Amino acid sequence: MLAYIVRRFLIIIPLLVLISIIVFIVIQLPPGDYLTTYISSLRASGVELDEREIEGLIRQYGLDRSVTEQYFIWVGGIVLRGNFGWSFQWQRSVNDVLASRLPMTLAVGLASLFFVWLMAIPIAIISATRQYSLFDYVFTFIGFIGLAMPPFLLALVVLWIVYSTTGVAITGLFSREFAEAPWSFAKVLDLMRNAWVPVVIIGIAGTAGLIRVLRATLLDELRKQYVVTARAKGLAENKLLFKYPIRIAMNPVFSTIGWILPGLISGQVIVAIVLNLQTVGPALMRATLAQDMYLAGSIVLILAFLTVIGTFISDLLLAWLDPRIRYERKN
Amino acid sequence: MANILEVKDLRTFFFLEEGTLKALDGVSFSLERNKTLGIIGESGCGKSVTAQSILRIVPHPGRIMSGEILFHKTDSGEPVDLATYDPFGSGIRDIRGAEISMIFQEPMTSLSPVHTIGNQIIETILLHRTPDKIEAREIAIEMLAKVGISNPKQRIDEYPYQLSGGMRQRAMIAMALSCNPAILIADEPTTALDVTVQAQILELMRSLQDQFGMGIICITHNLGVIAEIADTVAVMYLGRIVEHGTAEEVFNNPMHPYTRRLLMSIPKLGKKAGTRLATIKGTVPIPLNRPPRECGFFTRCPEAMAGKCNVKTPALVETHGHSVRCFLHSDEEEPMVEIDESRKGRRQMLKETAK
Repeated sequence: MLAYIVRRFLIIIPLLVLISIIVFIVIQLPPGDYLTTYISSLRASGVELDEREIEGLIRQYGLDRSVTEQYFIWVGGIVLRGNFGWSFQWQRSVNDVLASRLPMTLAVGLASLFFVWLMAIPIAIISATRQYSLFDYVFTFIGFIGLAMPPFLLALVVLWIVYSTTGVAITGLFSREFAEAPWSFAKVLDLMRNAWVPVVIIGIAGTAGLIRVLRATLLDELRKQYVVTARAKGLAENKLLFKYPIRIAMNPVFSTIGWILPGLISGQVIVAIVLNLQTVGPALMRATLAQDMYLAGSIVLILAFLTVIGTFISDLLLAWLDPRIRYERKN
Repeated sequence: MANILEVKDLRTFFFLEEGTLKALDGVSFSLERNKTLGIIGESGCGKSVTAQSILRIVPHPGRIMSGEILFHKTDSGEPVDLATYDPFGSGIRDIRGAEISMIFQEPMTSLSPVHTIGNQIIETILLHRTPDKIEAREIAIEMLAKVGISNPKQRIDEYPYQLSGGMRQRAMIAMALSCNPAILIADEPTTALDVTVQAQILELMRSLQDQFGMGIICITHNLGVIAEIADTVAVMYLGRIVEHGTAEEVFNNPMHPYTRRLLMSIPKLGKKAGTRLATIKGTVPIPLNRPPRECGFFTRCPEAMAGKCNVKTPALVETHGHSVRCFLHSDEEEPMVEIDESRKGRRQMLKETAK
């Protein structure tokens, strides 16, 4: 078991190096760079720059160096000083830009994840054990709506309903008076009051998807012979459900942990824009549009890192869940 | 010898959208202590549903519609009728695994792949015998030793996938016998095993029967297995027992055309190579929307008498030392039984079951 953990952990390091290279290449791929965009926008507003000024800017941003050099400066900064570089667009360090957004993103993401589990797991269990019951039909119906409706549309609908009934605009993660305020107990409470909207909206599609997957897996497991064996032993129905088929059907829940976070962040950019959330998603989109390469690169790198960690966690959970995975390479 | 189990006129129906599937249509037999009853027949004749009905684990949408399953817990006391138990109630759960236990066909799939065999055996012991975990583990190790698993102290913590098919079936038997049941139901216990292992498992079941004195119901389509292990034999066809008697009687003097043809279809050593095995034409029909009165074997029987076998149901009559259900031997008819299959009738049945 320990060897398994160590092996899985060591794989992470070359993986991250590889990811950082690919990320940097992808970000360099579009023609032009941040300065091309910046200069043309200055020109559009009537400011003409001469050659010397442009060269100064190029040197200032380090764009005169080769791509390889730029990569090593960027990665070196991250590894040695934890410095993710300079954001051209914000005129602040990337660390500064992300300091407020990343924790908020993680908080909304994790809350959505728990919301998904909390809703989907019990519903899927009841749906599968009472297949073709009224409960099953109702939640299958709701589930398909959840799957089919784009989350941003759902966000707009919820916004409109809440606004037209109560007059409150539930955008952002904080009310206006707390937005700039330092952290306090009242601010946390305010966050809780506001955060449920994005959590629920972002979570709905995931919930619907997970219900379908879990219900199908559990239905398969319920028909397996070992369930009959357990019943023939004299085990009570609920006990045997949780000990045998449900445990085995949890496999897809655990094996998808790794993808959930990037999925929540990149897939929900539009929701975040609609709801005006100060999360990473919209920042990533704007950075990509403006070719703000260090910011965009850093965000993608951090997401990749979280994905790798999430996959590592799900590997550990699966090994705990299923001994066949644990001893896979023993022989 | 005293009967420990008497099944009387058992009817188990499945209510499907296509109609009522009569999986068991009036099955009666009894089992004596320390004896083995073999139930044989082709796939789909109702063997497994018989076993499921006794343990009350008939899958949805099946239901016992009428009949009695009398289980004599003790020699003297009143028998209990398992057919009246709530299939999810604690009454039947106390009997399952403790007094009547079952082993299954596929040792690959009938044990949970993610729990050790010890965990699964100890669970049964904790349910019925002792609340003490250490004692339960000792009993489990002892049982594993009894079924011939070497090094049981180490094997108890292994997972099913680490054991061979034969070993898994032994573990399954250890689990079934761990609470000293009065009856062991073996549903095709050797079908998935190779021949040498089959013989070992049958030998094991026999020697354990000598030790524990349980009655065994052995369900199989393998006539060799039955010849090896059974004292009495019941031949099933289309939800009914068509021939019933001691193993000797049935094998040496088969009377039902179906039994005769089953016996003719066994390959024998010394038979000239290249000659064809006798087969029974067609397959067992699905007992769905069948005519109310007929001999089920009518469609495949070369000796069928038109105007008789297709319009009347023969009764199971004792002739020449054992019972047979065929108009070739007796003209007696099975009495007509009306079963209320309407929703109301089913609800009524459910209410009675709940009591």
